[in-house]
This record gives sequence, C-alpha cells and structure tokens, in this order.
Amino acid sequence: MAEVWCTDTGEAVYRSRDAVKNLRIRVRIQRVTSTAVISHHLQQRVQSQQERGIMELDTFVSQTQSVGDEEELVVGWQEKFFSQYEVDLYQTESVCQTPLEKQYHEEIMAMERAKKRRNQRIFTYTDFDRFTNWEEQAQSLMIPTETRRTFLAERMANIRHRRQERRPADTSVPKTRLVVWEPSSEFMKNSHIVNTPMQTMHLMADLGPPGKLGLKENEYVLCTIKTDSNGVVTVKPDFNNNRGPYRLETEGEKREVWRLYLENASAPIPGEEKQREQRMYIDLYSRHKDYLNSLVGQDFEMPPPGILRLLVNGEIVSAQGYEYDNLYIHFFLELPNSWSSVPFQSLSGVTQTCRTRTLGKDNVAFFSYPFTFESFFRKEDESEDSLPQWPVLYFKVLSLDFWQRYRTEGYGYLVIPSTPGHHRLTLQTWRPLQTGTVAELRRFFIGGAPELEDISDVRIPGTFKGDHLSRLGFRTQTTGSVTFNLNCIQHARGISEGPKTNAGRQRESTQRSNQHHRPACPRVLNIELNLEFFCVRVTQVNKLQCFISMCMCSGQHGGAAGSVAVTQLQGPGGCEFESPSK
Amino acid sequence: MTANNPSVFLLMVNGQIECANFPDYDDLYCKYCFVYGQDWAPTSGVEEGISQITSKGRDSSQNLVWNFPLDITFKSTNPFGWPQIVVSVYGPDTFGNDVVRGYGAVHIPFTPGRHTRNIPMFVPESTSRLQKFTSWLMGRRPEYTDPKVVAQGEGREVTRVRSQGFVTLQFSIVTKDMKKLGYDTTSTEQTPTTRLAGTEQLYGT
Repeated sequence: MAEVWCTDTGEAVYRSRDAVKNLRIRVRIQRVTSTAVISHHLQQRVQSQQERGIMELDTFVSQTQSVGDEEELVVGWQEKFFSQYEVDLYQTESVCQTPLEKQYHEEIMAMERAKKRRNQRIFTYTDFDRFTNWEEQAQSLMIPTETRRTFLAERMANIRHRRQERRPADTSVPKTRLVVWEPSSEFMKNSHIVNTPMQTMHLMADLGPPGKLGLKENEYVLCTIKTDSNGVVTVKPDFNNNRGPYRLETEGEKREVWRLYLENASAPIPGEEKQREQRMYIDLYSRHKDYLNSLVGQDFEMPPPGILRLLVNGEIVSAQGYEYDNLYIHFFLELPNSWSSVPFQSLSGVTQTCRTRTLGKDNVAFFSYPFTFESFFRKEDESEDSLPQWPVLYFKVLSLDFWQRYRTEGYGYLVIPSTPGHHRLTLQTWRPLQTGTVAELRRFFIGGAPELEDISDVRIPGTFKGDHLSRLGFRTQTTGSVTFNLNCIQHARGISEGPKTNAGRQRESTQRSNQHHRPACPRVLNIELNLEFFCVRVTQVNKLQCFISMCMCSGQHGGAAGSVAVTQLQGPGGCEFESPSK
Repeated sequence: MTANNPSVFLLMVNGQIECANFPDYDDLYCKYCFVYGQDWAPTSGVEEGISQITSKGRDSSQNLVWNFPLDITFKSTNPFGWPQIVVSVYGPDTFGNDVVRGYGAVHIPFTPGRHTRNIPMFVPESTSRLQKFTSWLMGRRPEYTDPKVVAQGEGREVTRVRSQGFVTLQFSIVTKDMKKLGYDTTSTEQTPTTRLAGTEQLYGT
C-alpha cells in the first residue's frame, strides 16, 4: 500500500532562449481516498494477475473516477483559467470595477454562453492577478511549520506588488551617482532583496469536496512558475520526471490527500530546426572568433629563431632586519655575455627612502618598488655543453638618516631564476667590515662606510678568470635581508614544440652539445639548475641545499641532476672541498 | 559545437558563501550576484540569490555561517570581463532598521580546482559628522544604488568607504575547452619558490 511520493519540492531553474509563450504544462491531480487506494492496489494486483492469464474481475475496475476526484489540464503560459469562486464572483457586473475584472466578466459570460468550460478544479492566477503565495514561504523548509515569517520573507513575497514600474533587466552599472546618501525605506526594501523583474504564474486547485467548489479556503497552490526577461524559467516544485507524485494535503476537518503530477507539455523543437539552430550558433561563434582575430591580427611578435626572450616583472618588496632606518636600495642588473638588451632600457634603479616599522621581531621597510626588464639570449658557442649564464641582479642597501649620514647596510645579489613563473625570494646581505674599532665608530658617528669598488665583487668579479675564487682576508658582517617578487616570462619559438619531461631533460642537455645545428634555446628552458655550483664534501648532489663557502668554482658545467640552491653566504672560510662526483 | 573546433569555452562555478566575520554585528543576511563582461553569458544555474538570516554561534567562534550555495555555468568567447561575484551583506542596526553592513567583490578564480577567498567588506560612509549622526539615528545609512558598482573601478573617486568585516567564499571551478582555444590557466607544476633564506636546511633527499 505504500506509495512512492516525491518529497523534493524545491524549485528548479531552467534556461531557454525560446519564447515563453510556448511553454505548456500538463497538470494532473488525483484524490487519494481509502477506496481509491484499495482499488488502486487491487487494480495493480489484477493487472499482474492478468498478465499471468487469469480471468479479469470486472468489479474491481476503478469506480472512483468520479468527476470530483481527478482532473487533468494543459496550461499555457499566462493562460487564465477561472476558479469556481471567480466565476461566481465576476458574474455579477456590479462587482467588477477595474478593467481587468470587467474583462474577466466578459470572458466568463462568453464561457457560460458557449458552455465550454475546460476546467473544474484546476485554475490559474496569472501575473495580473494580485495573488501572493504566503504559505509557500513559510512551510517548505521546517517541521513543524513556522507560522511567523521573517521580515525578509515578507519582503520577497511583496516584490510582486511593487513591481509595477517594471525595471528593465539592464546590465549597465551606473557610473555616476553611485551612492544614495539617505535611502528611503522604499529604496531599501527594493535593494536589499533580489528583485529582478519576473513574471509569475500560479497553478492552483480548488480541493474542496465535490459539489462544494468555490470556497476560497480550499484553494491550494500546485505550482509556481516565474520567468524573467533573460530566459530563466523557475518552476517550483519541479516537474515530476517519473519520481512519483507530489503529495498535497488539505487543511480543514476532513484531511484529504491528493496526488499531483506536473509535466512539461511544451512542443519540442523538430529535429531539423534544432539542427539548423545549432548550425547557426556554430556559425555565429566562429564568425565572432574571426572578428576578434581580425582585430588582433595574425602577427604575433615572436623573437627570431634561436633567441630566447626573457621578460622579468619584478618588485622589491621589503627589506628587514637592518640596523638603521631610512633605507633605500640601489640595484642594477648585469647581463652576461650572450645576453643583450633592448636599447634605451634602464637596467638599474634606486628605490625611495623608506622608514621601517616593527613587524613581529623585525624592523621592516616596505618598498613595493616595481621594475621590469627585457633581455634576449643568443647562444654564441655551441661547442661545449655549457649552460647559459643568467642575468644577475646586484643590489646594495643603504641608509640615509636625518643628519645626512649615509651608510652602507648590505650587499647582495640575485640570479634571475631560470624557470618561468612567480618567484618570491628573500636574500640575505652582508656588509664589509674594516678591522679595528675606528671604522665602526666612524660609521656610527659620522656615517660613511667602506664600499665595494665594483659591485660585481659580491658574486664573481668581472675581472676574475680562473677556477678558484678566494675571498680570504675579507671580513664582512651579516645584516638583514631583502625580499623580491619576480614574475618571469620566457619566450622562444621552441617552446610551442611542447614540454619535455624531467627524465628527458638531462639527456637533452648532453645531447644538445653534440648537435650544433639545432637551436639551443628551447632546451635551455627546461633545466632547473643554477649555474654556480659548488664543491661539497657530500657526494650526493641531488637537490641539496647547502652552505657555500667562499671557495667557488666557476666555469664548469652543471652536471648535477636536479636543482641545487644557494642558501647562505657565511663568513669567509678557506676550506677546500672535493668536486662533486657525478 | 564540434569537439575538435570549439568556439566557446565554459566555466563552471560551484561553491558556497561560507561564513562571515563581522565582530560588531549580528543577524546578518547576504545577497550575491554576478557581474561579467559582454562576451559572457550564463548557460545554467542561478545568477543571484539571497541567503537566510543567521546569528553568531553560542560558542566564542564569532562566525556567522550561511553556507549559501553557488552554482552557475558561464560560456564565453573571450576572457575579457571574467565574471566577478558581488556580495552584499545586510543586517539590523540597534534600532531594528535593516541597513547595509558591507559590499565586496572578487573575481571567480581562473584555475580549475578548489579555492577559498576571504574578501574584505566595506560600506560607503558620509563625509560630514552630522550626516553620519543623522544616518545612524534615522537608520538610513548610505548605500550604493546598485551593488554591482563594486565590481568596477569607475566612479570610485567620489566615494568614501569604511572597511568592516570579511566574508569567506569557497569555489570549485571546472573549465572546458580553454586549452583548445589557446588559453593556459594551469599553475606551474615546478617547485614554486626558490628559498634562499637559509632557515630550513634539508640534507639529502
């Protein structure tokens, strides 16, 4: 006897570009009475027995198909069907005051004369009728149903009444007069809720006892359909879609249960037209695409073959941990030999002077100094398997105080990362120390400090040739750190050939050296190594982060697989290490 | 649409307006809508909505939770005008009037996957003290004529706003045919940052 009801009465949102007037809905209601239930059940049993070839039982044909207990109707969009109550009400001409009521009167009289009335119980309220479904707002979500509505629910239900000015669904956002300084309560009621203008239609049913139709208390909402001008159709509750009927229970002394079926009866688009429509859409979009293409043009500025173009948009974010205040940073970019730059591009800069503030334990100065540069790499020598040297950004941090005392705070350098993308790097700095206390006193009282003559001494001096760099005897003191944000873009013709996997990279770097005719640039991109690498005592050189001492070996190729990163510059130490075994 | 040669790409947004953090206010509800460029059109789903009214929890979390679902699919021929979601929060003031508590907007994320966005909210503010007092007294706080204003930058120079509160949104994004049309929105798979800070030392692998 258990029947499968559909309990999901939430609303469903559909989108359609077709005219809403083509919407048709088939509504069917059926009363569930005790005899109806039994006969329904027996009917099912009989039918199953019939399938097995047993004699039919006439008596069990459903006798409850009386007029009052079942009805089906196909309703079009905004099609007005009158309830018994309305028929009774609008028959007398004196009651009709507004033009709408007068129109209803005419229609009802015509209907009565022609004796053509298609509906008994099911009727509709169109957009023009001033009907608001109060119960719907309160009942759906909670058990037991809450009788008092929140103010928001009241406002949302009231939208329809105030929608007479019918604001068009405009997508333009106001550009002037953005703020309403003293909003009226009317404005607030309208703007605090979702008030897109919508056309509504309610499918109703008069579920009174048969013969006693026409009482307003017996009206129940079957379905609410809303559309807006954008082709959005909201149906609440949704079509049954073979999920079982909805359950309607009447109030009043005699609680009756009705089944509700809703079905979309709109005429579907014939196959040919559908195809034509799809072709038209495809056409439209491809033409739009061509139009956009024509605006942009076909020529995309590509670097010449064999050249890698590097674009760096960077930012000096902050400097932290320095002794003195009023810091500024002076940086410049050094391009190694195979790199060239766009003319009239400045490769150096000075930030503003920034006062620090305490953030946590550090004194931080935020610069937010943007810089950008573009450079081109051309592989000069294809002979050995040397990897390109990437540009280096040298910087020094200086402080200038109120007394015009100028001090160096730190030197550091940053090798532009060889992988494209976003990098946030924090680099430690050091400053040179002179032996003895006099220099420090001078620095404190008067300002001035030893500076490096050539800033590239910070890394590998330009004049350096050889394979053993020693900074023995040089004293420095560790100072704070500087944070950079870099966004790197690499642009070359070889990139569009597709990405290479990790395993293939190492092979390629050794293969590359053997193939002189191939452009070296594309391969460069996929290698994650930094160029300087250092000798360490540990034989495993896979993805190590390690200290480097002041002994560095330069000029050899990076045979290590995986990335080796530079972490910290410590004080001078003249230790010797083994070369990496590979 | 032929699968080999698509002319539009789809952006499917699922998610929720999860919660709000307004230390001074309670009993808030929010409303959202999407703002997008001319070449974008929603193909399915709900474009705007209004949430329930929620109060702060009894424990000390001070979070106002809506968990209000978002579900929309856009189609477009052009990434210009990428959709933004505009959230407006309203609530009662001390006299019981319904006033605006914050506006905020954020772009829908580009990359497929799960994202959380914590957007700060602001309200327009009157310039003179007297106007501030009368609007507090009468319960008529300045509001934007159309909340979609916060999704664009024009006309902002004449407004003065005060920041208050945050709203947390969660998105799950799926895109279709973006790669075929030549747009690459995947994040880089390599190790994201090269840290030279020296604070963590990892020896060996």
